[in-house]
Amino acid sequence: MQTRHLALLTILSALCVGIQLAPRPPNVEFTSLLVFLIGAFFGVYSGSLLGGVVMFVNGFLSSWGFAGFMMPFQIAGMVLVGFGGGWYGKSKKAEYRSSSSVETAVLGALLTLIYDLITNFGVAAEHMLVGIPVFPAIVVALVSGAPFSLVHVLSNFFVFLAGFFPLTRVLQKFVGGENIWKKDFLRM
Amino acid sequence: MEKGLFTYVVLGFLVWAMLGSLVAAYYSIQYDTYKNEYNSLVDQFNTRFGNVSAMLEGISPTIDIFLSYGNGTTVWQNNTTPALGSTAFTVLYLITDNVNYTDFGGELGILVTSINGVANNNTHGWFYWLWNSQNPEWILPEKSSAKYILHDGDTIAYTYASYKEWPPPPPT
Repeated sequence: MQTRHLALLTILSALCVGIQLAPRPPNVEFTSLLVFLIGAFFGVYSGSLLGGVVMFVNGFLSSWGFAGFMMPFQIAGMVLVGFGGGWYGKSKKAEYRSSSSVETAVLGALLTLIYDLITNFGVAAEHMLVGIPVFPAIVVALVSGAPFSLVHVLSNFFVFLAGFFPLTRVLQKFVGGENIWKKDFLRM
Repeated sequence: MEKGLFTYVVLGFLVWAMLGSLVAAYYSIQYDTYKNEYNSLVDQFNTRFGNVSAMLEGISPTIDIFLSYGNGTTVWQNNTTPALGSTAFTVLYLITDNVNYTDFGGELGILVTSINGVANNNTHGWFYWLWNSQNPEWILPEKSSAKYILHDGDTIAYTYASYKEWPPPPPT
């Protein structure tokens, strides 16, 4: 990995943690976009690792308090977002066009929904531990979380739609142009 | 359609379907919850104070209404019990088959334009009256019938009369 790439990954990771911990409206977040972007830029491994680390740190320092039992589910959800970004970057071979915005918006919405399903399953698992049967616990957790998921998925759809393509352009310029990015893509 | 585009369209619909189902389930459960709470509240109220519907009927005003179509046809609807808070306009819907009106909004309010097919024209129109029981005479109110809230014991009238004579002849 080039020094410039390592510096970029470090800065983006710090930015990701900072944004995740910054005050913001409930269920509106930019972490997923950054984790997805890093996955698309540096590959599946870096994206997944960053997703996991961000949610691990968030679990301790979040303004909502210690995540506790929910932490592994949050980590799993965000690892999946990083994995999705890595898969998308690999499938596009680092060639992004303006139409990529729509693709990433759909992927962002899908990955956010999966993240919410995983974390809601975490809530259901908590209920199961206190004796609530499996099926009612899952249904109640999924259904009661629906309004929050709606806000989360819709907001991420627009965040990905507006954010992914311009950020890839900025990153291209930072690493020295489109060709370098393509050449170095996925090389660690 | 390109395979890649098709994939993203399908994924988009998948997200939409799953999210829509979750939100629909959420509002369905909310509906059932509030419906059950309402029914429970009504049951508790009925248990403590008797039947709510019967009680509301008990405090509804009882009024007499007179209709004069201007062609010699007159109708008295005595002991009519509209819902609490009814106006001289809304009570028309209880005693007639067909009412048309124009809503001018604001202070002017609603003007009745036809009752049972008898419509206002250049020479004739509908007037509504209130019976003043303290000083026995009909009063032509200076506000819309939709702004007069009925009280128990009220007597009101709607007459179809000519504009040429002012004030128009009171109901007879």
